[in-house]
Amino acid sequence: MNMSELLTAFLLIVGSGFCMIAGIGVLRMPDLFTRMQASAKAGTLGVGCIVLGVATNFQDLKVAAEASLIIAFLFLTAPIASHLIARAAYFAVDTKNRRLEHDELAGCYDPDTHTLASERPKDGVWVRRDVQEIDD
Amino acid sequence: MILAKALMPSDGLQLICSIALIVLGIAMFLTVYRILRGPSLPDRVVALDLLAYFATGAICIYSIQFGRSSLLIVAVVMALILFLGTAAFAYYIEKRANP
Amino acid sequence: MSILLISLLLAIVWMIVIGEFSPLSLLLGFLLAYTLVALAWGGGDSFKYFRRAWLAVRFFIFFIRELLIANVRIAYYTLSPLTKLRPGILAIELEEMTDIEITVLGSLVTLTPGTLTLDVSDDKRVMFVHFMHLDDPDRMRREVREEFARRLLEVMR
Repeated sequence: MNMSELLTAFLLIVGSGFCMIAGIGVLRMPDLFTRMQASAKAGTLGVGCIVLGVATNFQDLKVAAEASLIIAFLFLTAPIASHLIARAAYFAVDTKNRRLEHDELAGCYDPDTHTLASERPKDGVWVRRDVQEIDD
Repeated sequence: MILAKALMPSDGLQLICSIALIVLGIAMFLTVYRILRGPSLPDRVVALDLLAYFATGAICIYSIQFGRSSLLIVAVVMALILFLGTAAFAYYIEKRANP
Repeated sequence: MSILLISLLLAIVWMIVIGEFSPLSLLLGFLLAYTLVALAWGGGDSFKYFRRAWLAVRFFIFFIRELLIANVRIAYYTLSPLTKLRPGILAIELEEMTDIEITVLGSLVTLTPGTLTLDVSDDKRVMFVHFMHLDDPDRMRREVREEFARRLLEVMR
């Protein structure tokens, strides 16, 4: 194997390793948000490494352009997707499935209009029925 | 139409590709388990999202193994579609929580 | 130096690097260079342009380093006993920022160690961030505000 193939092999191994870590993380982590952390970070970097490996393997301008397109899409959309899912999950999933030791978001969402205040309302009008107040 | 000539990798790289595919396959099994098991719908959506990521990676590895760079366009389309699916899911989960 | 002159120069460098001397490659190089220079220019003198380019390169290196650290840390959390985890959500105050700056900051925070941006409040004053391991809330808050927000604004403004 020459230099470029060695580099490709290295990127493939690292990429699939991170993909594996993302898989284990999604399987093992205790609640939705920690699972999302594993998936959003390790998954993105793993696939990114593999795509980079394709670019180093073919060494062609068209392939490199396509590869950078894929990487750009992945890195632009992954955080937005995780934000959307997290927001939806905060409304949909009941609190017993959440493992949070400290939650400053609790009660900030208006359950009717889905707007987000920057701090918890003092009189507690917005508190959802299934969110326990967490005092610290 | 003439297809581009395949740029076959050496035997060592072939082996690495096979190993990487096997590792990806195991990771896919783990996420499928989470899809089946996942206590709530968002858990399943997160796992499904990750599965699509893995599929994108697997297509890229195939394109190295068979020496066909034209397979890469499938991965481009997939990376685009994947986000739309997740966004739609998130929208409906949020709607369903408070109709 | 004007923006046209810089992009013409870069286009010639592009032709040399690509190793293909044709009107088409000159045009492509010129378009690429013009877009990049116009994006990064932001008015003012050329000295500022080069400084911004340098800052952007430094920020890119910083980002790649943080990304690698993030993934090693995720690997550590994933493979070690789960009792080590102490997840939590913090509210982090932001200074005055435009929408695009908040978007970039949120994406960066999601892709870096142990943090995940959940949402930004409607008045754009507070960002809610999920932490994988929350041992010292005040230090974490300061880290996000000073490490990421300050560096990012340095490059983008």
